[in-house]
Amino acid sequence: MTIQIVPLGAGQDVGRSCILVTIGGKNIMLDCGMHMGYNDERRFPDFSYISKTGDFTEMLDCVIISHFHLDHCGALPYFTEMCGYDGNIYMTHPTKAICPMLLEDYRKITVDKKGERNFFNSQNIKDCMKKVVAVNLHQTIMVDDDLEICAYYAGHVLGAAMFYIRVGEESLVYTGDYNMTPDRHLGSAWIDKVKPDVLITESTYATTIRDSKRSRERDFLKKVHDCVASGGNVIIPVFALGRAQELCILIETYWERMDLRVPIYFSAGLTEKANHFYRLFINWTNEKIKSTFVHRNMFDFKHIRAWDRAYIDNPGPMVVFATPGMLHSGTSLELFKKWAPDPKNMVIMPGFCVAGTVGSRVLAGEKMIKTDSFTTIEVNLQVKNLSFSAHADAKGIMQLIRQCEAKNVVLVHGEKSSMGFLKSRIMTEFGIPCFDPANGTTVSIETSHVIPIEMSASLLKQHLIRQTETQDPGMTTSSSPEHSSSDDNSEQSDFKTPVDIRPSDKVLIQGMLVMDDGKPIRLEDADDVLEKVGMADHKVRFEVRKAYNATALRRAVENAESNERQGSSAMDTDESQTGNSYQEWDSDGFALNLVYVALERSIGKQIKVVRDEEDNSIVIRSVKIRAPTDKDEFEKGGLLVGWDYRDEDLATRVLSIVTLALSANR
Amino acid sequence: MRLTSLLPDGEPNCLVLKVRQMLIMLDCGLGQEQLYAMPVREGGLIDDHHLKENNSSTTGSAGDITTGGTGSKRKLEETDIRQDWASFLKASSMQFPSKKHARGSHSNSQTTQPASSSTTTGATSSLSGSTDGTIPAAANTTGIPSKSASTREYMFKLPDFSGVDLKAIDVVVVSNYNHLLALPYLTEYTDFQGRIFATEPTIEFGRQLMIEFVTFFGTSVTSSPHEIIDRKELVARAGAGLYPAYTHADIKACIDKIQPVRFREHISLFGSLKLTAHSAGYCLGSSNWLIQIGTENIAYVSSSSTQQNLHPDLFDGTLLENASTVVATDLCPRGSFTYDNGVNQVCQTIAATIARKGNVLVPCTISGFLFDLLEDVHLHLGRMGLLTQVQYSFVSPVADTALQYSNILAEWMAPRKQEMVYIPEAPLLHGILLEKEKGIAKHYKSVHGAFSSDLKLPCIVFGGHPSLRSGPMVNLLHMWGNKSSNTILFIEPRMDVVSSMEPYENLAITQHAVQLDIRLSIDQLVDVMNKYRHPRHVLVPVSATNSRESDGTSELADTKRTTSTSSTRWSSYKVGESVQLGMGSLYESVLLSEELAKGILPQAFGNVSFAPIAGSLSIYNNQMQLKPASVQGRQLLSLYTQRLLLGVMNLPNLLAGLTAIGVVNMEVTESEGTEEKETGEVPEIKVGFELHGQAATIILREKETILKCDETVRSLLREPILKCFQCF
Repeated sequence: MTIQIVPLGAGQDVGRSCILVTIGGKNIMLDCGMHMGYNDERRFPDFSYISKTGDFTEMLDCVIISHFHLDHCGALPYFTEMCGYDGNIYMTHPTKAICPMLLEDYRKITVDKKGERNFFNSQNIKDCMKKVVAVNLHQTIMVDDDLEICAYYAGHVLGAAMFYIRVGEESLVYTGDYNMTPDRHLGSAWIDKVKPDVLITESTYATTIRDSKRSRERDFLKKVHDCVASGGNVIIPVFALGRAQELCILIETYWERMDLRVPIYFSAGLTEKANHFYRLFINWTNEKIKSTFVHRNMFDFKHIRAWDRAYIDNPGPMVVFATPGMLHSGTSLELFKKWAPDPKNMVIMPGFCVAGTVGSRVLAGEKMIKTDSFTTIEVNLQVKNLSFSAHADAKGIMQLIRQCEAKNVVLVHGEKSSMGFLKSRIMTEFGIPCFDPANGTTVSIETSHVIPIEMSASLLKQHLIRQTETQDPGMTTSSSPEHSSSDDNSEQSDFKTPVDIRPSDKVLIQGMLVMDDGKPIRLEDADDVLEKVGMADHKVRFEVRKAYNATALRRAVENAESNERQGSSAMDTDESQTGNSYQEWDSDGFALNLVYVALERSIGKQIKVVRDEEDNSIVIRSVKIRAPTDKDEFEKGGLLVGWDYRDEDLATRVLSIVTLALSANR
Repeated sequence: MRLTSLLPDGEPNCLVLKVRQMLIMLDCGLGQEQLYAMPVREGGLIDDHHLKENNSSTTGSAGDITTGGTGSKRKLEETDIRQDWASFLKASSMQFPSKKHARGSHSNSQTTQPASSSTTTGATSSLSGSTDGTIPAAANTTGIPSKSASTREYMFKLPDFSGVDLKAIDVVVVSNYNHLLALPYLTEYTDFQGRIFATEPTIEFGRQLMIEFVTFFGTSVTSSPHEIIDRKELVARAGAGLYPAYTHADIKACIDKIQPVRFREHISLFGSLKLTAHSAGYCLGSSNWLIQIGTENIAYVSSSSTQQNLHPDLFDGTLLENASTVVATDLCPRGSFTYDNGVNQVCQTIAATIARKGNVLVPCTISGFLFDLLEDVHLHLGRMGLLTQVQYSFVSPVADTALQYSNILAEWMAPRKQEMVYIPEAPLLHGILLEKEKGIAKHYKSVHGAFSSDLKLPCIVFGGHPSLRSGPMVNLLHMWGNKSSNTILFIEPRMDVVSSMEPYENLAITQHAVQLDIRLSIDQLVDVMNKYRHPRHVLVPVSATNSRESDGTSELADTKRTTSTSSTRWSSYKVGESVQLGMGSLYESVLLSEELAKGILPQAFGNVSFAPIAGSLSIYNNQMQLKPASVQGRQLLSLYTQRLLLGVMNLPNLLAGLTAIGVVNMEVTESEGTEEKETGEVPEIKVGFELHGQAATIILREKETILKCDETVRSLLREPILKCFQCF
């Protein structure tokens, strides 16, 4: 079986996350994001890859959204309302709640302010969200009879989730964006040891290993404090939800501790609403906030006030959290334009900026930034970058791979160069294949295919008993086939004692697979099965004559025996003895005895071999070796071997042993 | 499988289920019945002096009982605790003669139980067996009762752990917060080592209920239950003895041991056991459990509700689809109100009281359907134009937490409520009522302090313990109980209103009992079972049945008088009796490797295909995988292989087959069975021929074919014979 992965966006790139996965015959879209660095059709993923005719509902089994950032969910209304996808969409409760707000916010900026067309409208967003099924963490959702999804906590932003997807015995984990270290308001990502065939992980900070959280926080606060102390304004471009809340908590507590009076503003009108979301979804924050929320809700801020445009001309220092986070439009860009020329001011970029946005160019150190054909900003203010964006760093990514025990890794959502570095590290450290496909290229991963069946417990018990009975108590493991085949036998006996204690971990099983449509495949005892279906079995018995040369045989045996006893000297005496006794010698009885000894030695441990003296025969289950009884048989000579077809395999083995025992060439 | 109930019917659940090698405890509730036999303590843990001042009028006579109790308690330090149970019961039955009448046979069975099941308590047995006059005797034997040093201990009866090896319990699953009060005893006072699972809200509300329980009924500061409780005694005699409440430290330790789960989260244990919680629709986080062992599915249906328009997530019946056995517990007793009628009555009662400027006392825990009721009441009062005057007060040590916590559980609510957080708005009405600027609703830890200064009359007070033996309701009854314009309104199911009110018989306060019960009734249970696939066995509490047949099946007490059918077998369980149920053939989950699967040759018979298979089963990491055997393994296997032939021998086919391999001059002789001596009456056909100079004979009988030939030609003759059959 094969799992196929095609990134439509976020392949060797950050932004516009959209990955197509085919697993066990199911097609799944992971995230449906937009690229904020573009304003043309490159903004959305190329959905025509999925279906040229636009029959997306038919093609896809479900769409899964990992979290509410627009580079992960921004194209969703476009896909459902304008491209016509009408199937299942899954996301967590907080994502479902917050996602439409951000979409609407972004829509206002793009359409109402910039006057762009070919963009979804408010109603589209509402209709789109109605189709969404909200999931809870760890809750296993059956999308259909075969496809199962389960969300795990990802920590990145409120409601961010990693998704475990399983079809039959094939499985996949998509991380979305995640954070392996807890921060001020969220916990760290966590996943069960699900052993997925493929782990698709983000790799935004593939090459970075960040210093401790605490020092970064101190750094951030010091910079802010220094700037306002010298009378400068601080602008912190953020998105209304997520990182902003963490920074607010941080600054709020610092201000309280230092008793600062410098005003802090939060620009977006979203704040109040955003904080209300955080209050309602306290369960998705970290333990500390959860345990104290009854007495003091961390999201009721005392020092932080709402921003008003009129404040822009206020004198004196202030700290402003302004949206959006990449300085590409809105209040943050407006404030930046105003404050950029003054070197006293400071801009702190706490997040990641998509290439092409003003934010990324500021970070790149450009001194003159042209935002459109009419405006050029002169950048003189201090620019600080703080890696506050809650992505896992290289250490975190490795940690996650180890935690879930992935068999293959696919890197997405990162820069190509750093991905290559991480890729080689993963391959050397874990010895597992790792891929970093570009957009539109397919990665095919072969998975070993196992079929789940149900085995009758009584059958297992029966075989377990047989296994323990037929083996010497001390031989439990050493005689188990895998062991004796792989290990040297002499070595086995030397180190017997420690091995003895271990129970057998391999059991030989025989049975009948029953495949009934619509029911699980079952492994049952063969006889029980046929009895149940009411099929009578027919008995076929074979009786063959096993010819042998009695005289030659006896001579050979006696030779061998005398050789053992006296060496090769006593040939003559043997000759005379045999000559006499040949008259009344029971050749068949002699042959049977020989055969019995041979059988007992070779298979006696596993199966009961019965020597019936009265009947002059040997019985092993239905196999019966006997001397001739009637005249007709006597004339032909030889031993008679009879068996039921049931024991065909046993009989074949017995026959070969008999042949060997009766052969004169010893 | 074997099911044993450790608590009587009508009490919270505590059952032990043994399936194959697994021992699973279903819930761990604490019996509430004996609460009614206990004296009243005011406002939780407060000192004696304080209590007497406020409480002289009604509990003056109850003082005697407490002394008796104290005496026993003293003795228990030197001997054991069980004395208390008997003396409490005695004393209370003497004090409140009406109780026995009200509680009927139940109370009788309670009194006899400890006596009969205890072996080492000759003295106690004789005590409880004798007449009322033995109470002073009991007090005398325990030393001089001293009132000043008296500490009023409440004693509780634990589930009957005596027959269970607690150390061997693998797992405890908890269905909702009503059924876990005895959990700290299990985790902190016994050698239980298993794992405990419950949904997140169950853990939180359970914790709150435990805190309330300890605050209301906990031991006084003088002695720690760890000193009093003999651990061995607890295990051996849990069914008989009485034990003081645990401590706050125990609660914390116990809660930390519970592993939180979400609905439909698959928990896999020991390789063969799978647990999944499904929404029960009864309260926030209430769950029914699907227990899968091998391929056997057992559904544990605890308190569930199919009532419409409540706030908890809806009843999820999918667990019944695969269940072969259903254990149904905590059903709604017969003759309860329908919820909708009940709510109307509650609204009317409250509105009428408020209209006459009276106060309403609602003794209840702050959780469950109260949140829905509050909305209905608020709406009703709004319609009646009474809103402006009214104030809601929630008085409980955990009121604050319960109210706030319930509003952040949108994921656990019905879709209708989930929608609210997307606006965003608090999903439950009290979130809005509690907002400070509105001041319509307030919460208090107890009636002391801010409660009286904030008080605006008329007032509706929720909280306290429904037994009215302790907690804020006791104080409030003293304050408002003498006016008939005030109302006390009982809404909690599972409680005995008459017994609750016994200590307050003389109070003028208007009483209303509208016990709202949203649990499934037996009729609803039958409907639910019929709606989903019919399980093979359904076990119900004995109270839900009319009669029990000799074969263990039962006739249900529903309106249709359902009895067992060929597809579904109904039977009942009761305390102290274990029910044995046979299970169908058992299956283990095994993975078949691709290599082995490639080699199989299925043969179809109608819809079903068969394929013989042989391989090596590796058991690793609790997973079984069937792989191809090694060379030695195959050799070994061949010794055991049993081949099968199906079909009937057909002579023309055989002859054609023989001709094909070059056999000529076949001599076919048919013999009537009678001619042959040995074979009796079996008719047979003999085919004789020569091949490569060797004579061979094939004998055909009805169910048997025999080939006699020389070894050298057998391999040639084998094929034509086997071709006539289907072989494996």
